[in-house]
Amino acid sequence: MGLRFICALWMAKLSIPALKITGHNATDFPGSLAIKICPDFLERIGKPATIVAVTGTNGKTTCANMICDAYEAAGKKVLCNRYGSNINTGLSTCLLQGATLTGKAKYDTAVLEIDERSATRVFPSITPKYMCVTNLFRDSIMRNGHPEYIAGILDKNIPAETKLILNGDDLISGRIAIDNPRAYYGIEKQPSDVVECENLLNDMRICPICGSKLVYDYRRYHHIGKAHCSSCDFKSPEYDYSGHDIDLEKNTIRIRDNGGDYEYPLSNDSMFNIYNTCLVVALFRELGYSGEELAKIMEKVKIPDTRFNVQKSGSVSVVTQLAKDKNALAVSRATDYVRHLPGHKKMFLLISCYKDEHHWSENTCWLYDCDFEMMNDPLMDQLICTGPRAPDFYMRLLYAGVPEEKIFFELDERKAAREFDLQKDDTVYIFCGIDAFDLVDDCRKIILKRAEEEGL
Amino acid sequence: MKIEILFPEICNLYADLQNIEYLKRCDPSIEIIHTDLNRRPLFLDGGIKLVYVGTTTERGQELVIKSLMPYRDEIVKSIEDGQFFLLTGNASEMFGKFIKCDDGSEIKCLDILPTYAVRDMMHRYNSLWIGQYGQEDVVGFKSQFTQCYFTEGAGYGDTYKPLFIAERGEGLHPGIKEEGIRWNNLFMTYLLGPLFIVNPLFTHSFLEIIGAENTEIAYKDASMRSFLKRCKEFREPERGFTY
Repeated sequence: MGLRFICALWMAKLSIPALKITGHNATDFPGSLAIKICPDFLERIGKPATIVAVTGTNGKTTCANMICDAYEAAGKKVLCNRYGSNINTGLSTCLLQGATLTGKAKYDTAVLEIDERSATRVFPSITPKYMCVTNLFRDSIMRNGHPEYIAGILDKNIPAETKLILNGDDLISGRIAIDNPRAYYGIEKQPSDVVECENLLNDMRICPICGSKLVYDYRRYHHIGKAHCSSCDFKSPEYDYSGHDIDLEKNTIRIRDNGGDYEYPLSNDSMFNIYNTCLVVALFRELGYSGEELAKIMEKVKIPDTRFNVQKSGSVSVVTQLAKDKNALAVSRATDYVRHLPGHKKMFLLISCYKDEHHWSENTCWLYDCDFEMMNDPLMDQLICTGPRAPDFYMRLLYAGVPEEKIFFELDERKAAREFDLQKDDTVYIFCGIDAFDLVDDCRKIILKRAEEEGL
Repeated sequence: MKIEILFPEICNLYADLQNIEYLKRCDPSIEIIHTDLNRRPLFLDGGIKLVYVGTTTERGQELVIKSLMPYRDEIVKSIEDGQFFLLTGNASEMFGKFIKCDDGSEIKCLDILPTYAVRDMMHRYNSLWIGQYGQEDVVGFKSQFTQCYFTEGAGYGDTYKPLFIAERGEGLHPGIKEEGIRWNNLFMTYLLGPLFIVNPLFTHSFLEIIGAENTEIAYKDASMRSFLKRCKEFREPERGFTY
């Protein structure tokens, strides 16, 4: 066991109440302290027998939370890093919280969201039984480079015995660690599918085997869909868990596997979240839950409301839509979702990477990978460009073809919330990153108060 | 005027391709031609004003080298004859002598530019950048796994001139202020992404250099507002510059 390890464990455990008393959230520091005292802490700390890891560019937090909710709905208490960071220090914090004073695991199952870039530091010490991968897309240019690079990191580091739960419609993440055991989930052809890419991001255009052009049989968005090589026999994998018959009125999807064809409730009607449901179903079917049992469990699985939240005042609705800034894919998907919702809307852009603004200036390349063209929509009545990057949003919207008269420009976010044109029956979508929740809250309150005071 | 984009299916990272779309927004008479991998580039047979290659992945670099290698001598001749080229981000690495990988191995490149690149895949170099093209301010971003160097005996001079001079941020590699290369009408820079969109002044100059019919900047007021704010930010001493 080692004195150093015990010292690290106790010091880290003691730091948690100390941090809480002083108003800190204690999600990263205890693990960081433990690793500082005992560099191989993550390897030594006791781990639950079953570890379900979740990674991918987009949707990993949502999926990890859904998996935890599903476990809880099934009556099982699991350890998870729901409120912690997803890198080695955060995972250490999580595991030490779930360990006894001698470092033994108190739980038999853990659900760990893992940052895909952290695989090099995490997987020598943690061997997940299952690893769920949502997708791989372009992400922060600074940290993640490009999806092939991230796929390469996962390839090299995922333990050989880990079973992968993969998105069969994503030819980038679907091909990682190709020799590992795997199960594919996916969604069969939908009426809204296309063949040619309608998005700016399209990162799977050539065959990964021979470099010839890929031909898409159908494409949902970006590189998500089913494809085959125009030259060799490479093609998308067959699904083990095949989503079909999506019913958005009933909010259900049927998923067929080799044990049957079952109907499951959906917790959200966006295609992105329907994929997340498929992932959770595939995992729990792999874990041995019956289709009937799982359908009941899935009724209790919700999308956390920090990601999609609606508040009303009079006839005005304010919808907070998480759209991770610096991530062209996340903003594109969120925009595509919102533009297809019925009714007129106003878009309040709080996606200025506020965290970056504290110490440097944002790399804005992602703005031109992102489908701002979708904001050039007849139902989007006003686009509010605000925050430090407002001039860049303004330029980007003009480039996307949005008429100048539809763009409201104000650097100060709260002033923008007070001054943009708010009308009766408006639905205002606040697009925000994960580092702007306080600001979002302020702007939302201002808009709702205006609605009340102006009798809208 | 025709602009040929080489291999847009893979040389398209970080919105690099929007550079050419933006030139077309400025001068709608520009015709953009896309040439896929393993096709003979059109410019080799004349009629193309500017050839553009954008940033790609490490695997993409190898595919590009393989695709262009049969035409290597023709490409050199076309550059010597004054063909306009623009290479952004890591695109120029394929035109250098070799790329040195983390494991010590070397990828043989086209050997057109007297340069080589050294990869460090676990340490991405990220930087804001401000400098000058002639007297004009230029802003941009660098984000790369490599650093580029001249081969032994080669360097900046009358033949290979720096494209930009850094005011803040590094040049072709850390420790120097000369950024990019201009060799005849070949322009290369490690600044990536929508370089023209964020640099209205440089865009105007570039359109003039290549002889565009219309050199007025598209969305000029918006572009200038964004550009001037960025210049101001990048000059703030407290503003972090590398990541």
